Amino acid sequence: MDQAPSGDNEDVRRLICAIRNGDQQAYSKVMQLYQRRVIALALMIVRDSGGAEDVAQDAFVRAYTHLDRYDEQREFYPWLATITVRLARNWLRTEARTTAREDVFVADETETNISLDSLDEIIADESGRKLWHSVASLPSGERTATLLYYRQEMKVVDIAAAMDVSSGTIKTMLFRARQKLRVALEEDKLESEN
Amino acid sequence: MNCEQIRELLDEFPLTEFSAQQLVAAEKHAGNCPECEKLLTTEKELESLLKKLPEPEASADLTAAVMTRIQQHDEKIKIVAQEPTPIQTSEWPISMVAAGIAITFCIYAYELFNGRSTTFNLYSLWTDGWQQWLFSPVQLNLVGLLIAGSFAFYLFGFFSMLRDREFSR
Repeated sequence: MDQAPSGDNEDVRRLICAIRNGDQQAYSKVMQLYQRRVIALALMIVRDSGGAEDVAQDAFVRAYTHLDRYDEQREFYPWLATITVRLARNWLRTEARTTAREDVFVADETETNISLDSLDEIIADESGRKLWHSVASLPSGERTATLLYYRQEMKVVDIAAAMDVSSGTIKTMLFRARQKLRVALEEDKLESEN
Repeated sequence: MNCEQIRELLDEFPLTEFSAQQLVAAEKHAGNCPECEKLLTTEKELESLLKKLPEPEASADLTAAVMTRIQQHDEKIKIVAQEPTPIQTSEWPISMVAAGIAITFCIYAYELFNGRSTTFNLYSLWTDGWQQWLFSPVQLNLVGLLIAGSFAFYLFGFFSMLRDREFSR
């Protein structure tokens, strides 16, 4: 499937313009470009494949219905990511009420219960799954910032806006995440050597 | 650059945000320092792995589900656009006061043109005191007209709302 480049190109702007002029079908092309990124982001936050799919669906619908609020001078994906992060947080809050799940973006060092039972179905590569698990076992804020910064190549300032925290907090989250992942990587190397 | 500076930089920024100069200096130092070399190698490896973090495939239903919801949304917008716009409840108090003032001014203008000036007599406020001024027939007349005007507009707004409800059924 196509992957959108880190920066929005002219095609995306043209598609947005077409949607604003009433071409509803142009939105399916926008979805094709961004759906994997949105699902990955939702999955990284909610850590539940069914929940991630629901969040992604709601995020695309919300983006469409609020397209008048999107500033064309800015990149499209950070705006879409902001919507996704907020809806994923709402999803977690709703879930927390019923299943006493984690609090949103609270750095809980002890949280380890990852509910990604169906990860095998959605990520085929085994080393990819392992890496995904390492990142997914980080606290909520750290794993979201890691995905947005490294994989989705968003700027620190845009991540801060999406997660409603300061740029300094994002830098701290990235630093902590790197420290933990570095240890995990080294342990993994030692394991494979033995 | 020394070991401490490299660690400080890595505490602050990911390797990708090092300037070209900083990167060259760090690598130069790492060439003579096995510990820093290991640190930089691990960091590079980690960043390269994270860039390749797999993104799950979207289910085939996602686009279809979103497009269906979007179509339903657009249909609703079309129906709403065709309906007469009801007066918003939040706009009522402002509208009522505006209508009261408008009606009052119309009556005063009429009286003025017929030779009876009933505009505010601010001079009597100075000479007679505020109590007499407030309860003088002119001011009571003004307050009464404001209340009557507002009430009339409130009734108009209420019946408009009932009529709009009938339309939307």
